[in-house]
Parts: sequence; C-alpha cells; structure tokens
Amino acid sequence: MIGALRVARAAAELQFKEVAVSGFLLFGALVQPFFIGVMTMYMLRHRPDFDPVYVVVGAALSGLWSVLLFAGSSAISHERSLGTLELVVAAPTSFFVVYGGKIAGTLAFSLVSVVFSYAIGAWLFGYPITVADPVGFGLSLLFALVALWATGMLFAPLGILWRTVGRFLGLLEYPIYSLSGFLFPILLLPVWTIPVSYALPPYWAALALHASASGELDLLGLARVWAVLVLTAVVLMIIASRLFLAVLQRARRSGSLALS
Amino acid sequence: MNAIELHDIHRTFETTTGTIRRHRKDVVALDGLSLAVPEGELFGLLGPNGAGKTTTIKILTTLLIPTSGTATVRGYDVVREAKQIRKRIGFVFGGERGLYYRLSGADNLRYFAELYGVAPREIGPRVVELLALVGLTDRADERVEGYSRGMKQRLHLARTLLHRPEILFLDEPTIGLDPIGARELRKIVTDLHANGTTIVLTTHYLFEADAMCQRIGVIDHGHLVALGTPSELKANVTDLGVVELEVFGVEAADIERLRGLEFVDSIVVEQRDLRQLVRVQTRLAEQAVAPLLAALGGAQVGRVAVREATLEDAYVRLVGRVE
Amino acid sequence: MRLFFVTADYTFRGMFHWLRPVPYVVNRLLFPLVQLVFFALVGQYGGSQSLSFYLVGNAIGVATLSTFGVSQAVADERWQGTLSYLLASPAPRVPVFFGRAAYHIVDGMLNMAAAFALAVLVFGLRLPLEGLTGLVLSMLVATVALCGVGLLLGALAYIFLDATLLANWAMFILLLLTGMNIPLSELPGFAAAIGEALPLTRSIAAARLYAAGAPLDAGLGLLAGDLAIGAVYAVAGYFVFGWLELRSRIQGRLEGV
Repeated sequence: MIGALRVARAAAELQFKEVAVSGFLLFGALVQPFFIGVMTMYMLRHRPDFDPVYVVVGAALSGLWSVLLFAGSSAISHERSLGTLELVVAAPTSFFVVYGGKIAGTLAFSLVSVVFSYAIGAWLFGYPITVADPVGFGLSLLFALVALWATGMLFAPLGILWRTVGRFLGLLEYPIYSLSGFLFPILLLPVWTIPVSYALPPYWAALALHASASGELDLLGLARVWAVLVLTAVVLMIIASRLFLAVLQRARRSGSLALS
Repeated sequence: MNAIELHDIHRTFETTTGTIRRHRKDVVALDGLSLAVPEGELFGLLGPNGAGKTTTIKILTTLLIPTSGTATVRGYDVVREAKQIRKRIGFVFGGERGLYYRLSGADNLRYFAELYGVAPREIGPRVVELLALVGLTDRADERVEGYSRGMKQRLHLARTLLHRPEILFLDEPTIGLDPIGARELRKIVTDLHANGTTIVLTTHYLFEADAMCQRIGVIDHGHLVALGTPSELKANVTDLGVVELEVFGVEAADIERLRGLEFVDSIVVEQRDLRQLVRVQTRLAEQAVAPLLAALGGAQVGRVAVREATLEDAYVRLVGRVE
Repeated sequence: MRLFFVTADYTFRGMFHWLRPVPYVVNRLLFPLVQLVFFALVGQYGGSQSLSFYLVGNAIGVATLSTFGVSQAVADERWQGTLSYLLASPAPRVPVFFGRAAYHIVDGMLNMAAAFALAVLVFGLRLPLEGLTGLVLSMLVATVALCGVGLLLGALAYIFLDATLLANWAMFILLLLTGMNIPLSELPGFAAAIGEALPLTRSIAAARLYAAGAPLDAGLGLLAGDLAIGAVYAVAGYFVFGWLELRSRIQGRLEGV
C-alpha cells in the first residue's frame, strides 16, 4: 500500500512537471478560463442577483475540467510517443497506480485555474470576492477533486482503446460546461437533459462549489452533495479498475503499446 | 529449471490498409517458435529484420500476448502471471526513445526505480552505483534531451539493472554506439552474465554473437532455422570456402550466371562505393576462382581472396541474405 | 482562374485523405454548435441582451473556425514540407492561396448554416424573409474577411511555430471583442477600439440588422468595411510570407524558420 502511494506520488510529480511546461495545457488552464471568465462576467453582471463569485467559480471549473480532459487523456499517448509506455506497463507496479498518480498530478496543476480565476475577479474587475461558507467551500473543493480524479481515471482506458480519441475530445468541453451548470443553472436546459446532468460528477462538483460559495446550501445540504460525490468516485473507480485490466489485456493482444 | 521456455508460439498481427475502404491483412510474425534457454545462459537471437526477434522479446517481456502457444519465464506464464515475471526481468529496446527527456538522467533512474519497486532506502545508492557502472556519473544531472545516442543507450542499461533482474533481454544493445562504447557495453554484459544473470541478446553483429553468446538461435520468417553453439553453427559451414571478388561494374545477369554454376552455394553482393564485393560460398575454395572469373567475362576484377567460412557465412547460408 | 479551382479541389481531396467523414462532422460541425449553445444559454441567463442578439452573434461567429482552417492549411503545407515546392513553382501566389481558402469558405458557410438552423429549430429564432439575402451576404463576408486573418496567422505560425495555439488565441480574441456576446459599447475604450479593427465585428452588426428585418442597403456599408479590413489582414499576411520567403532564400531554410 505504502509502496503504491510512493509510486503514485512519483508519477504525480513527473506529470506535474510535464504538464506545467506544456503551452497547450497552460492555455487550457489560464487563457481559456480568462476569456470565458471575462466574457461571462460581462454577460451576467446585469442580473439583479449577480454575485461575481459565481463567475469565478465557474471559470475555475472550466479550467479544471479542460486540463483534466486533455492532460488526462493524452497522458497515455504522450508516454507512447516518448517510448516509455511499454516500460511503464512492463513494470511490476500496477499501471492503475501509476495512472492514478498522473491524474492527481494533473489536478494539482489545474488548481492554478482556481487561483487565476480568483485573480480575474478580484484584480481585473475589482470585485470583492468572498465565499459565504469558507469551510464548506474548502471541503467541497476537496470532494470535487476526488470525484474529478475518479472521472479522470476513465480517460486512460479510452486513450488506450482508441488512439484517435484526441480528435473528439474538444467536444467534451462546452457540453460539460453546459450540462454541469458551471456558468448557468441547468434549469435553462431542456428537461430531458437533467438526468444526464445528474450522472455527471462535474455537475455535483459545481453544485457543491456554487452552493457553498453563495451560502445557498447549509451544511446538511452540502453533506448530501458530498456524499454523492464520494459515491460517484467509488463507482467510477471500480469501473475504471475493471476497464484498465481489460484494456491492457487487449493492448497486449493487439500490440498497440508501442508506437509502430 | 529453464529460465525461458517457448512452446509452439504463434503470433499474428492484423493490419489494415487504405483509408476509405479498409482491408484487413494478417501478418504472421511468429510461426511455431519453440525454444528453451537454461538458467544462467547468455543466449543470442539472430535473424534478419522482420524475422520475429523483437516479437519474441516482446512476448517474453509480457508486452505482447501470443496468438497461440505457451511461453514461460522462470516457470511463470507470460499471459497469466505477468506480474511475477515483471519483477524479475529487465529489458532494453534501445533507440532514442523510452526516456523522459525533460528530466535529468539521474531523475529518470530515480523515477524508474520507484516504478520497478526498488526499496526507497536503496534508490539513492543504487542510482549512483549504476551511473558509475555505465560511465554517466558526470552527466547525470543534465537533461536527457541533451544526451547523445550512446549515452541514452547506456542510461537504458542502467535503468534496466535498477531492480537487479535475474533475466535480461537486450535488443541490439550496441547499435549506434561507437566502437569503444560498444566494447564497454559488451564487457558490462559479460560481467553480468558471469554473475549469474541469464541474458537474451539480439544483434546484427555476428562477430558480437560469436564472441559473447554461449548458444545462438537463428530465426527466420517466424521460426527457428538453427540452434546451437557458435562452433556448432560454424561446423555447418566447414565444408564451405568463401571466395571474395572485388569487381567493378558487375551486372545482375553476371551474378545470375555465377549463381547457376553448380559448385556455387550462395552469393552475396555488397556495394562498396564504386566497387562491388561478391562473396561466393562454395565447396571448392581456390579451385573455384578460375571458373568464377571465366563466368564473370568482361567485368573488371580487382582483389580476389579465398578464406574460411565464418559465423556470418553460416548465417548467410541459413537465411540467404545479409542485413 | 483554373489554378484556383484546381487548388481548391486538391485541398478538398487532401483533407479527405486523412480525415474520414465522421471526424469531419464531429469536429467541424458539432464543435461550433456546442459553443453556440453554451454562450446562448449564458446570455439567456444574464439577460442583458435579447436572445436573438446572442444567437445571431454566435452563429456568425462560427465563421472563426474558418480562420482555424486556413492557418492550419498553411501550417500543414509546412509540416508536409510541400511549401518550398509550392513557392518554388512558377504559379502565381494569389490564386493558389485563394484556391485553398475556397474550401474553407464553403466549409464556413456550411457551419454557419447549421448554426442558424440550430438557432431557428431549437431556440426558436425568428428570421424575417426580407432579411435573408442580407444574412447570407453577411455570412459570406464574414468568412471571406476571416480568411484574411487566417492567412496572417498562417504566416505568423512560421515564426512562432505553433499554428494551433495561435489560432486558439485568435478565436478567443474574436469571441471577446467582435461583439459576439458583448456589445462593443460595454467594453472599455481600448478593447472596443481593437474590436473595431477586427474583421467580423461589422458582419455581426450587419447580420443583426438583417435579422431584425432591415433592408439590404442598411448593412452594406458595414459589410464593405469588413471586407476591407479582411483584405488588410490578407495583405499583411502576404507581406509576411514575402519577407519569410526572402529570409529563407538568404538563410537557406524555410520550414521551421
């Protein structure tokens, strides 16, 4: 167990270093949330109940999600192009643990979106950015990261199964922003999409963060959302671990671990 | 116990061609390969490109599952007990890739040490020790992207030794190295073997196989065409002599004519700048020179040499070509 | 003229060599649509402008993907190493490049048509019949003008070496400053000034007029303005290419300057 954690930590560190210098990912973590944040700020500020924290949280979430999406799914193909994928798979340590560390490292990096979004609201626009329930918010962030981490664990099997999955990834940005209610409530969406939203971990993450920032939910209400986040995380982990085994077996059968 | 056993291994790859209409094609990489390598042996795997050497290594290192047949390493099945095998083996595929180029050499080793389960207390000293072994101590803190090919190869070797594997698979370990570097690497390999490590080596350098390996297996078109010690393989060609003719401007028709001569076993033509080196394997040795020259007719002939067959000639006889 | 069509056809075929129909539909058609849906809904939530404002703005804005297309095409030439052959050929430059652009113009029009279809069918946007010609004209002008930006971006990509990143920046700047979602009057002075100097701004303004039922001549001035601005960018791109070409002849390198 300790051994696994150590490997995970090493993998997380390596991943952090790799993504932190990627222009593409820095764009997703900083530039994109900047533009989306600034735009949404302008678009929403005429609402009578406008609270800048809403935009800051939403923009931060968009950055978190974009980085997770692209870095998490390209982690595999990146290793494959480096030539290290075979070395990692052939290591005695479970690939699941290594990848878990990578996703953790990716999320750690993506937290820079949170800081940056805050800076946009507080410095660029000069709004007072306050969170109604700091403790609740902090815990919500923690549980949100756990659920997002579990979601990220699904990207690896997809990355191994389909080498061209990267082409379609761009499509998961805006729809998730929409369905998860990052920057507008999902009530605006057609009724039949609501079950889809409920099935998305980012939706619950956004709910917890928005609600604790605005004080809309009390501790009990928040606790219910946290429970859903933890539950989804557990379910996703179980699915992911099964998928990992199946996918690795398939890769070994078809020989797709190497570049050629 | 045998360190490695392969029983009737078949491995087929499916490839697709075309973009709009995709056609499935089956490529047979291994076609009934059976082999056993006892513990502690330094075994050489030879064969032309595409013969199935790399596929064999990938199966033994648990990266590839055979289409049929069984393979065991140290008694563990490569398909079902992969984890047990991975603890005990190391491999170097070589080449420029396979390292995190933004990290330093030492950091690469430390990361892989974690991955391969080296005890934390041991990582530091082990990395230092291995860097010294492969001669990279003073470049250890530089980023790998600045390493030469030879340095990367040496780092790969250090990497594979981190967890003290019992069995090593080395796929063309000296390719791309300068002669001194290659010699040093060979020494490291033979030292490891002397210490009890089982080693499976693939190489194109036949003199290397001859010098280092205790036994050699020659693979062609996915199965074993010869197996034995270097002496045994050379014995296959003791009846052979080799006549080497340096010619200028020989044509394909001339070569075909030579091939047709009944005492000619096989011919290999090597292009060397403006000359061609024609190596004729024949039972006749010196007596063959005159009829060969006659058969060449008008082509200008430079040097003529007659010699005994080497391992390379045995290899050529087995696979029919030099690559 | 014939060169124009030949190049367009080759571009079309070249694209399809490594793009199967499915990724095409998915990436080029669906992507702009999901972006439109997102901003339309945010706009609806914000309520600071009418829904039609956001729908028309984002539907025209879908043309920004053409920018992507052209600069990618130019970057691809470099990646495939064919640019040196192209420049070394005796073919005149302008028709050849516009031949490539033609594909993207058609592509842009298709995207915008899909976007408007979505706006009408799903969001209930009402488009008056009188305004349709003007709308289609606005769409055309938008795409053509943006190709000029694409050309400049493609040229700049030779210097900065990352066409995709550059195009991403361009897309977001256009998103923010051309009035797609925020009226220029709400932006701080310097930002609005930049917006006025960008193509697309006037096309969007014109499209909004036509969508409200204005007559054709109401927006012609705006559209002419957009074309002019697009032309300026195209010329700038042309000159950057010329400079790069000169430099490469002196230095001996073109690809990966």
